Amino acid sequence: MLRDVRKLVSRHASFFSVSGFLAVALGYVVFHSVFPNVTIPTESESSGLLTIGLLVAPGFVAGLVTDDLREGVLQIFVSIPLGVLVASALALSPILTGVLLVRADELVFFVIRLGFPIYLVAVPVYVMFGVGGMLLRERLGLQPTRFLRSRAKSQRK
Amino acid sequence: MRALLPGPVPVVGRSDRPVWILLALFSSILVLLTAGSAANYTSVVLAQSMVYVVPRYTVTWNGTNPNGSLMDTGTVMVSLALTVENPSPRVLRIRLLAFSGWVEDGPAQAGLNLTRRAADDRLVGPNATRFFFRVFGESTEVSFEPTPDRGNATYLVSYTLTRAANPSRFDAVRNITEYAAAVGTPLEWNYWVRVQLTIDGVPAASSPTAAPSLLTISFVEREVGQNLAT
Repeated sequence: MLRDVRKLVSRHASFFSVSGFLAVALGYVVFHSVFPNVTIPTESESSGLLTIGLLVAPGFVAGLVTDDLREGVLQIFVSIPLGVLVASALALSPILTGVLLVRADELVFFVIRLGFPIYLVAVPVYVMFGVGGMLLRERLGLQPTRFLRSRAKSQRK
Repeated sequence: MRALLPGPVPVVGRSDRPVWILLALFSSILVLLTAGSAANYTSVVLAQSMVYVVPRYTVTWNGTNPNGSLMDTGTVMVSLALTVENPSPRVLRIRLLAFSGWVEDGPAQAGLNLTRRAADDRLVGPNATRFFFRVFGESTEVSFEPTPDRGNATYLVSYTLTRAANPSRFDAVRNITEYAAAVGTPLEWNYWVRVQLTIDGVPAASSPTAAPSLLTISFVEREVGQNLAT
């Protein structure tokens, strides 16, 4: 049973790590756009350039490490609810010190409502630049190291 | 994917380890930014919730008669020592200070001065309404030394009332002190202070149409006492 779980995790590790990466980027971008004056970098108002940049770059990098289009699209869709979770966790981070000025559910709703346009924009941006990253991966002929090792082994035989 | 690529595609593959390293680096930066933002936000919320102010007022009378009533040449000085207790990890700066003082208007209360009775501020109690004459009301933008993080600082402000500066107000106070001396009751004061402290390192939203959360998160506002002004 434990071995099966381990096998399952190792098989989907890259999928979940890329989804997690996109989710952290999305959560941070949403939180930064809602509270630009208390996040790092601190700004008086959220910068559109930073918002777009922090959606484009992770989408592209995620595409670079993904070799299957279907898997790539799926990990983008998985990253959206995870991104909502990251943004909500950030908004609720003062709870760790035992202090919160407003009700937790109000704050989560606030982050979801104000971040809604970004969640909507994230899907096409991630898909578009993810595909761009995948194309570059194909162009560079990038292959998983494990795959290259197994191929070299079979050629030796 | 291959069908989308123009030109020949390399047959010999290259390891994708460098792009995974790039992803790991990017992830580390994002995690640092996220953790830093959470810490920064938490410190601002702590400042918003934990800071409190303790006002101490002192009234100094100069030039009074033996019975305690104010003379024509006398002065009344009300000093406010405002202590800002800041247990939060953020430095604070006082931006706005408003403070007012009222003295209970005995003659108006007794119906001896109907003009002032109509103009006075009122404190409605369960049994009776008390009349208070506003001796001063100041609201100014100030720039004091900042309040250190996890520390406190005391700021001194004072207001002096003389006949030369404000004859009508001075005469009213003098009349109130004369009445108090005549009936032998001590003067009752009511104070109110409101202070706005900006949190260092949190820029205020530059657009007036910004979300209310952005407009208010950059400062802490505290109020002590009852504002009787109508």
